[in-house]
Amino acid sequence: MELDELKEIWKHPSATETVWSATELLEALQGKSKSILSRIKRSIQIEITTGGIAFAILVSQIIMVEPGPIWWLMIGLLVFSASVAIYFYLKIRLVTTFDFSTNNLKNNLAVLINKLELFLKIYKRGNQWGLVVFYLLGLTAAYLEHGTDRVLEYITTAQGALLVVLYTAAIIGPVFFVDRVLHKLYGEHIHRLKIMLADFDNPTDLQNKA
Amino acid sequence: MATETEKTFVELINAHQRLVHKVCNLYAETADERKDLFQEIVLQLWRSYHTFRGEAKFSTWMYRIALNTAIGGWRKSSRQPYFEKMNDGHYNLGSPVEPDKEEQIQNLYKAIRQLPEVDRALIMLALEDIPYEEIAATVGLTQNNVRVRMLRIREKLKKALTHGA
Repeated sequence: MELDELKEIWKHPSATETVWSATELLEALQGKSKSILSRIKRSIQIEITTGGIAFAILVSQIIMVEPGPIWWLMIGLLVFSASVAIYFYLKIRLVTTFDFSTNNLKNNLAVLINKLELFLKIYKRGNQWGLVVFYLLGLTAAYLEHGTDRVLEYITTAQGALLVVLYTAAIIGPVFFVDRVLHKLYGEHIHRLKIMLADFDNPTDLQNKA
Repeated sequence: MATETEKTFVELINAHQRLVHKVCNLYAETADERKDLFQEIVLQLWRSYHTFRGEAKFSTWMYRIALNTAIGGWRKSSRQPYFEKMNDGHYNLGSPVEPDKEEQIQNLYKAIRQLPEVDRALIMLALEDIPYEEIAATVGLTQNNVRVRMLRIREKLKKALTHGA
């Protein structure tokens, strides 16, 4: 079948092509995007809201607690939280500086993959470092509250050792959990995009998808 | 209340609506997915509308965004497919659908959907009578590369359509 014959078939409308009215199109403009970047943007907005609430609770606690070791620990946490704002800024900037109209298909795909990979990297690093900081802050809080001797004495008991193990697992567990979730949410999509990008230079044979 | 810009944009989309439907037919299989993709493309076109300066044809600008959205930006929903109900607001574009032609066009779409995503974009632009120079610029390949790939794509389609897609 020649290209001209295919063009002839192509011209005919199909039953699957259904007109969207002007009203429906106007409604579509106000709709929610299902693009991967928009989904990421929404998840970051949820994180920022949650972080903001946690920040406000922390500030209210600082006001109520008497100045002392725990108070200074909370101040440290507050400073740490402020630095997290930079992390959120980097993440949100990644997903808001992407334009579907500026590049050709190949370059667009390359930029998208690059942004998604960078997002995942920042997300994983942020998560790992954040949890390490929380781990250390937790231990420091225990030392400040009870003193080094009492803490060392307690963790040598079976109950104390179990508590430390559980606490460590509670910190390490989310790192692996988040990694798995991120891979499920975005990793597989990135992998699919990479195969497509490779196809620009090394075309694959007809895929049997039937 | 729609603004003047929104009204102008909707008029332009209306005039080129078939183009978006064709992209949806090539990159989405079920009615549900096609509807999702159509909405996503319209949304991305609207978000990028400020970049359209009228130097290029509106359709050329649309191809680029529609294909970019279908290939990279959109992710298929995991929902189960459903059979779309035709309502009063939905009617076919252009002339009435002829049963024989419908089978032919569906077979063609099915055959094209078996191609890798990049090849689907190439054949679509070729079927739309876009010159190779413009196809090369839209996709990001050299003209020579487009020619070579088009030969292979035509062979693949010929085979798929002969043996039944």
